[in-house]
Amino acid sequence: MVKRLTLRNFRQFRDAEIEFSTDPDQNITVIHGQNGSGKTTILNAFLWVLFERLQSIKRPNRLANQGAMAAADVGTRVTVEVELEFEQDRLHHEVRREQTVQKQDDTDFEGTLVDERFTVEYVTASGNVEEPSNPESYVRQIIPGDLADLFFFGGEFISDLSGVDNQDEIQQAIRQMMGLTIIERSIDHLDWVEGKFRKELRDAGSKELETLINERDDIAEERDQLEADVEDKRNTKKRLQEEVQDINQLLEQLGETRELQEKRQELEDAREELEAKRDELNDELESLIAERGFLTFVIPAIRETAGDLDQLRAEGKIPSELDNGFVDELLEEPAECICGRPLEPGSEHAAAVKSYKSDVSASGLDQAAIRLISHLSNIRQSHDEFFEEVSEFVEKRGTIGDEIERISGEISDIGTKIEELGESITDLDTEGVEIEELDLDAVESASDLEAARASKRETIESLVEDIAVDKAEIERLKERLEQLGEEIDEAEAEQREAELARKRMQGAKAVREELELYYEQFQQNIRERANERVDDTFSEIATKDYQATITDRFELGIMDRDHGTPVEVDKSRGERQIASLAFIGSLVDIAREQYESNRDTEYFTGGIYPIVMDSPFGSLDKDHRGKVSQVLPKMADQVVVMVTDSQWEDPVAEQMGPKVGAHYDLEFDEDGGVNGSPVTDVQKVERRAEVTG
Amino acid sequence: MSSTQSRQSYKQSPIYEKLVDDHDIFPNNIDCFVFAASVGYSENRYDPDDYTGDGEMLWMHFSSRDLYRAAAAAIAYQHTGDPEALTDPDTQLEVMAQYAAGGAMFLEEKFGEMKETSRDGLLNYIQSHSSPDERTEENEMIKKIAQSFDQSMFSD
Repeated sequence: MVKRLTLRNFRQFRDAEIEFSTDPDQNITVIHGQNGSGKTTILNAFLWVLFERLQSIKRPNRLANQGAMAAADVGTRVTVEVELEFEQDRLHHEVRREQTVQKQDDTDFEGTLVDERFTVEYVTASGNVEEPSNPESYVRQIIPGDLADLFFFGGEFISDLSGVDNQDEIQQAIRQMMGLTIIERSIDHLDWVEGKFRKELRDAGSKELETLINERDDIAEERDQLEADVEDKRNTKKRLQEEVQDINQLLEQLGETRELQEKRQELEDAREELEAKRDELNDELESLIAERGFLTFVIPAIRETAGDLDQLRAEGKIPSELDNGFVDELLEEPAECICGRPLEPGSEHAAAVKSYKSDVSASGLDQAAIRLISHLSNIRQSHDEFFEEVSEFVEKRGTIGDEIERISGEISDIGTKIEELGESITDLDTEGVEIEELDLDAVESASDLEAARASKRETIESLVEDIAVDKAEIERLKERLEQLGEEIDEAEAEQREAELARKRMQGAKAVREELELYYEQFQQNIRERANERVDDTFSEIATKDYQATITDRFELGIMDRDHGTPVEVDKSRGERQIASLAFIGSLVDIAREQYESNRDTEYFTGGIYPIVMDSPFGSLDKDHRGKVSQVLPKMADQVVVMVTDSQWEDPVAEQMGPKVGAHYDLEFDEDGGVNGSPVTDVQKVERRAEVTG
Repeated sequence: MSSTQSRQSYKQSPIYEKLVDDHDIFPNNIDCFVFAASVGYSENRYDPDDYTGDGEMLWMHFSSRDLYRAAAAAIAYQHTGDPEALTDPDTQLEVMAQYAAGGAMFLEEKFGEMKETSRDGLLNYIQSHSSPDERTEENEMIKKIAQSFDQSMFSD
């Protein structure tokens, strides 16, 4: 409920005050003024003080009163001020906005902004005056900025609202009114959240955990099978080796074959020994590579570095003084000079080296240089020895290899001889001997035994190769299993994240769907409530043939009551304006109802709002003005109307007059201000004589 | 930090596993690292961008090995051209790690696919880098430098 509006230096008002009627039976305040007298400025004063906004006003930058600006000296300041007093929640509020401008030169009527203030004060129940910490936000809580357009408006807004192309205003108004935009934002946000979790789910669930686990199980099974195979092959090999040994013993029982077999056994033992030696030589070669193999590659770097150091020494950049510790090191057994020359104890050279112990301590660089140089001999020797030893070992290994090859040939020859000899077997002691795939009772000659032996040896060699291949494959599988284990751990972690994302996404979706359903129902509910009030008001005063309705698409339409079809715009301008006012009235009504009901159940707390209208009759004909006049007092608990004299003619004055609690005249003087500037005075009129048409 | 505490992260390429674990040519990663760095230096394979990794080389592994210290000092000095590198274990380890990364890549290319004959392959490779004549010539030059030092140190 607005109580008082005070204007100072605001546009053409130097110092004006309007007290609004708060009488419930005479709830209308009428402000009379001719065109250009300042009616629209008063409407703008409401918007400016509350929201720092102006509409439909010429030269909005010229806020300061021109007379005040003209009277001000250059460099001095003029303060523009609007104050609105109103009651909200039974508390008296004072909202004040000030803007101070500084005059720059004699022709400056705008001024440069130097200060602005916005304050809100309210008197608490205990009589204390308090200020909210954020006054702008506080005001917007009382009346949302967007709603202000519905409650402070000019005649053209009414025409716009009823126009067929402006139906968005209707829906927007309802949504704003009931806080539905909050739900919409929540729905949009939930949709975004859902999309975010869907993306997380897609990203996290990209690896197929199941596929990895299946692969791991398959590989583990394959590994187990191979290990079992290797074990089997080892057992087979061991058995075959025992059988070969048994055959060897059987062959040794024979007369002529015995000697050959014994020889073969000797050769096989010798070959085994040589193979062990060859393995040792290979180990030696590997040690050589590990310990000194690198020298070949760094010798040039060492030689070049030593050359540079020698050059630095020659240039005197490295002093020749020696560290005592280093001299001691050289003299330690076996004593050797830097160049590698032996330093026999007591010899002339040893004495010379010893004499170079000094009190001077060499720097780190000197020490590093000396250390490198001192090892040159050792490095050179190690390098030479490396190649000598490699040559020696490789040669030995070659000789051994040749010997192994020769022995293997002999062994092979013996086998052939035994087989060719084919010594008959008459009395063979086979007690306790069992050889697979060989019926010992059926063996007739040494050739049979030798053939069996050769076959088993061949199988053993084949098994050795198979086992090596299997072992390599097992190693490969183990590596893959290890890798899979890591991938599975990673995929499981991602799976957990994916599960969480899925649950969150489903949660967001469920809430969004619920909210959408609720939004739809709530919106329709509000529409029906508004619709009911609009039609009540409309049907009371408008043509009975028509019906005003807010469609389910939120269009404010005028329908033919009998046929339910839309009425053409040209045929229903007056009715549309009535419908628009009825609609605004319905919103004020709903806001009040909302305010007085349980506030916790809705998003908008509502309020008791006045309606401030500038020239609400527009270009309506007399008949429709009369009808609109019937509507206006019912639109809100408090109505402020700004009219020209011609608009206040009957039937308007007749209809509204009894409901008017206060009249004001705007007395405009085009050049009555300072230096001939325009000025408007506001005069309260106790009872204005009604002008009749 | 004292020099004995110097350490350097290095990239442990798959060739380390092959030469150390699979073929037992090198008893440990330290020897393999020095070999790889030396090969890298010789082949001019140097990786300043991607040389750190799972491995960690400690200076204390070098401190008791004169040949390793000489190699690290010479490579670091030749690479930087700064005599200070001769005394700085951190620089030496870092340069070695960079050449080791390049050398390991070279060895991987040359011997990565080799299964049974890595030992002889490496031996042939080493031998191909140093003919007896080259060694004789190199030895003579080194001998002269040592003698030059020797004379200046121990003559009045």
